[in-house]
Amino acid sequence: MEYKVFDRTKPIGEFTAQPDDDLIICRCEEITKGEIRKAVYDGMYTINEIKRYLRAGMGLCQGLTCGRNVKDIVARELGISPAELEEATPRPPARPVTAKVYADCRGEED
Amino acid sequence: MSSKEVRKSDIIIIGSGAVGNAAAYFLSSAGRSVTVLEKDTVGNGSSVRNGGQNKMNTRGEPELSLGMYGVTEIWPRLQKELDVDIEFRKTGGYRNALTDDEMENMQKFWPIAKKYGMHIEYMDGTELRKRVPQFSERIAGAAHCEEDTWSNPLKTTLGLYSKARALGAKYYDHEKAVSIETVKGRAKRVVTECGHIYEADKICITACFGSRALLNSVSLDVPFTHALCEIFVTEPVPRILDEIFIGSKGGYYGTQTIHGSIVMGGGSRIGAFQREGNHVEFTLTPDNVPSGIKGLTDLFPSLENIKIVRSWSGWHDRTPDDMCCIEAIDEIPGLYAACGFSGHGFGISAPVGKVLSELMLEQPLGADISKLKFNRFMPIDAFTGDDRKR
Repeated sequence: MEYKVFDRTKPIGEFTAQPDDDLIICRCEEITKGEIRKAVYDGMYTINEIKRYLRAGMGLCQGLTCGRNVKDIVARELGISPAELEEATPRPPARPVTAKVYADCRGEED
Repeated sequence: MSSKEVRKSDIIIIGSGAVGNAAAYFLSSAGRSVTVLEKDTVGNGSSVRNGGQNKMNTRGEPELSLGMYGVTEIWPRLQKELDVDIEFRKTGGYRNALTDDEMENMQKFWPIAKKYGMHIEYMDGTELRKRVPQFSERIAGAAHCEEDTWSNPLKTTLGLYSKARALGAKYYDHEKAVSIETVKGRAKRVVTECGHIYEADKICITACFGSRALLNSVSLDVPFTHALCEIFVTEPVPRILDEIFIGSKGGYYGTQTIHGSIVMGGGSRIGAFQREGNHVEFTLTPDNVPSGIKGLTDLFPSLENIKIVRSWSGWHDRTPDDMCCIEAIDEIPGLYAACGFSGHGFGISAPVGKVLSELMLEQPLGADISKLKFNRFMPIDAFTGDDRKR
């Protein structure tokens, strides 16, 4: 799959408010649709950038819940298919793991 | 763009990390036309994979002037001027020692710190735990440095990009610079992997590890090696401390962010020997991350049940003396570089970007960078075996 490469020098127009902009999309971090749409106009064109700029997808679920919705919103603003947007870089662990358990995987004897 | 077309601007910056974006922001603010070339996507390297700290208490003396310029002027200025909250805070920081020897060793820094106007206070373990009860009983003492700071690396890097772009800087993604060309001895053109040509009177390299190959294209070299470093983030927990913290021997460093999560990292020391190209930088390494997390549970025994939500790693561009290189290159007028940050560059990224802009605008410099030229790395004197100094 070839991901879309954006020319960041081309203007994409101005942000205009929408009636459902206060809808919460990322539930862990309480990030709204409006915040995500606005970030695109601030120049955040990739899912990694949206995540790092807003924290959408950085909470306990690590984007498992909202990832798709975020992608759809960004794609719509950029006028492309969501399939053309690369996923945020996956960061292990897939689900939260307790520090004690992790620390023990070193296999050191007490 | 057709292959014959040449894109012209006043200044070309190669690499859109925190340093490159800061330089782009200051130069655009001064009315210069700036082009930023990025081999990947904006700010996707070490600028967004670090712990956000400015550990003044562990810097080498040649970097302290830059550090103080950042703490007193440039970071507070960005906090005000950017459109996002970069969460800059003068947190202060603890450097923790496990033995009296380590404590004694840390105290050697005091006269140097004083010379640069830094404030360091030494305390024993009892006093430290009075202030932060969660710290392990095994810590024998600590040095508290008032000038240690923190800023959010993600918001800083992207906030600078967003602001520079709004001021007219042109950003090109997936545009990997491969060589620099000179005209009559002056830096003039940048050629990219797909054959595009960019032209400017001033070219600035801020490409982390990629800087070396670019410098090589004009027969210059700066020695550095890859070193892998790991970092992880926990779920948010109630406030433990505001200060950043670091082990006296550099095994760990960390912060509890405003958000409440603990960001902690460290070097495995075997990182320099990892193979290149096996994508370890994007995945959990089998040994190193658990080792860092053991550091967390050793440091804060009461947090053994805290949840780890994310971990990642990345490469340092580590120089022989662990200090960065920043300069207007004498041999090639019009060429500027800042690289070799050796794993502690983010904390000085804003002042480095500012000083680069001052160099390019031919303004007086806000910090002394005279000891950070990369020609400081000289072969030893073969006869005596001693280091040679310029």
